[in-house]
Amino acid sequence: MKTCKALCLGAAAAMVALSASGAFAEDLVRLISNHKGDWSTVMPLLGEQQGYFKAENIKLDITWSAGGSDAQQAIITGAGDIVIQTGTLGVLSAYEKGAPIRIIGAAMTGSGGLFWYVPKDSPIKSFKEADGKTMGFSRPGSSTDLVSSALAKHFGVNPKRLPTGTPTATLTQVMSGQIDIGWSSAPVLLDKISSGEIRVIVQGDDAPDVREQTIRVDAVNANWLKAHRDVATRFMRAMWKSYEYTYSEQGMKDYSKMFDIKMDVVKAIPKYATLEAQAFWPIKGLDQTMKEAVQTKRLKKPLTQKQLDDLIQVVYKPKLK
Amino acid sequence: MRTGIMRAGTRALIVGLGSLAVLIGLAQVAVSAGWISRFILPAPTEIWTAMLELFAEEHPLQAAIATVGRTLSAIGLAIAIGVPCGWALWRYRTAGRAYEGWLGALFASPKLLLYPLFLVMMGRGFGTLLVMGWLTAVIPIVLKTREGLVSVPPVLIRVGRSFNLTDRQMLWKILLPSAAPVIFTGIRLSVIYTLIAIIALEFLLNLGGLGGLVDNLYDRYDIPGTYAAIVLVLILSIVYFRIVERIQAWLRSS
Repeated sequence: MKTCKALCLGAAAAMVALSASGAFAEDLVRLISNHKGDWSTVMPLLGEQQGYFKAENIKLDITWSAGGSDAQQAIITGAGDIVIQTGTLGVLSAYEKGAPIRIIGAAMTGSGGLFWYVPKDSPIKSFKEADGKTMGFSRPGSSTDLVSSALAKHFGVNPKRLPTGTPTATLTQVMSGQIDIGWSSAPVLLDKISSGEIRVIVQGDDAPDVREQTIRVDAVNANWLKAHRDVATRFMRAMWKSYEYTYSEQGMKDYSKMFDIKMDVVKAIPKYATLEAQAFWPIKGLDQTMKEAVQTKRLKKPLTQKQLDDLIQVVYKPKLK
Repeated sequence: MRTGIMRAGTRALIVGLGSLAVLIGLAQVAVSAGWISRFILPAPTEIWTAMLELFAEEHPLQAAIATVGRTLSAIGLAIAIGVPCGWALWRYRTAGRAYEGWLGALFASPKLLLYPLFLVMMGRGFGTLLVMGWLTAVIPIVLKTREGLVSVPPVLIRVGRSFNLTDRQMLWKILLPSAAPVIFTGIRLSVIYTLIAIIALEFLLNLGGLGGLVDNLYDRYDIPGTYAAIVLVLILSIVYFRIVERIQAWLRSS
């Protein structure tokens, strides 16, 4: 009896000691995501609900940023560990300037999610009629700036391209007649396409140059990656499961419910942003991306192969089903 | 006495510039030693190099002219509308008492948050900047115009009446000249706040000017360049403020 008691007490003490030492503690990952509600950036949220990150012994601490340089700066200064769906151009630029940032996977290849539209009563029937018309993009140097330029070049038209800000601000300018052609990114405004209020006249992937270009990546703080490579790998494994789940019927229902978006709109999203386009590997079109980076003054000159090998450290390469 | 004032002025300048030099030196040491990350605060020498590159490649003077032009346009419109409105609030005392508090509260509110409304109404361009700048500038001008007119010494008004001046003559020969220093205080306040508002909007909406320049440089992750552009904004603000101070001093002396 006394021996049994002693053994039980000893086991209990060992359990307490192990818990205190953190042997069972999850790894905290400070994740920077952008634009809460966007299809691609909320997938970790859905995956966390399904327990994929917990299964990899990871606890997520998600911060929602406005994206762009703000999100990358958070990683570079160590305020976050991983940023997802961030612009490739920005990461290249930061790396060239010596910032401790590394790419651990592709996040979006091609620009199928981007589309340009006109109001339903617009006389413009196709993008080939865009000559001389005003055409919106978000801001100078953005992916919408580059993609709209590539589309104009591919279709041989010369629209007057203007920065119009966010998709919702752009919609207001289109519907009030201030500009002829607006831009958006799925799933924003898919409900208006569905209801017939607007018509899509061109998608980002209609330009061949853009189709094979990785425009967004997942990136980490370099010092964090050195100390937590295993955590990064487990994170990306859980992320891929989250992606696959979100593209499933149940995942779409969860997304629809979480953000109060109609199911028919959600089901239209994969037409614009496929799962394949979000594969972590390979990272495509780097030569084209670096050319654009030099043109927009984000790089002084293209990175060398040695620099690219240092910058790009993909930790997990899932097989597409 | 004059020599004493000059010495005091020179001493103040030396203390001010000296403190700045010490801060810059400390920043240089801190960044060079790695105590502060250069991705948060670049070394002052890097910022200086970036400043030279800025002038060589980014045309900051053109950006500055655009910003100043927009600010002066908004202030001009604010003076044209604000001074008559301030006079009306003085002339019709009940209205003055009724609206003074509301205007004061509106002045303290974050009007910059109204920009999405004006983006819809005026479009993404000069119109929005002009209206937002005007909204920021007009309130202090209205309030200070009323205050200036209220504080005109009654004896001056009685003198004007004794000369049988018409209302218009009273306004131009007695009221406005007497109220001018206070009105100008309102203009000086509006100059400062309008410059801030215009630069902030240029930054938020990427509409060119110095604010747009800061935004573009930050977007390219050119941190030393971003700081160099911010330093330019500070220098512009100081120069702007000093010019307005000089004009106010001249008005007082004349």
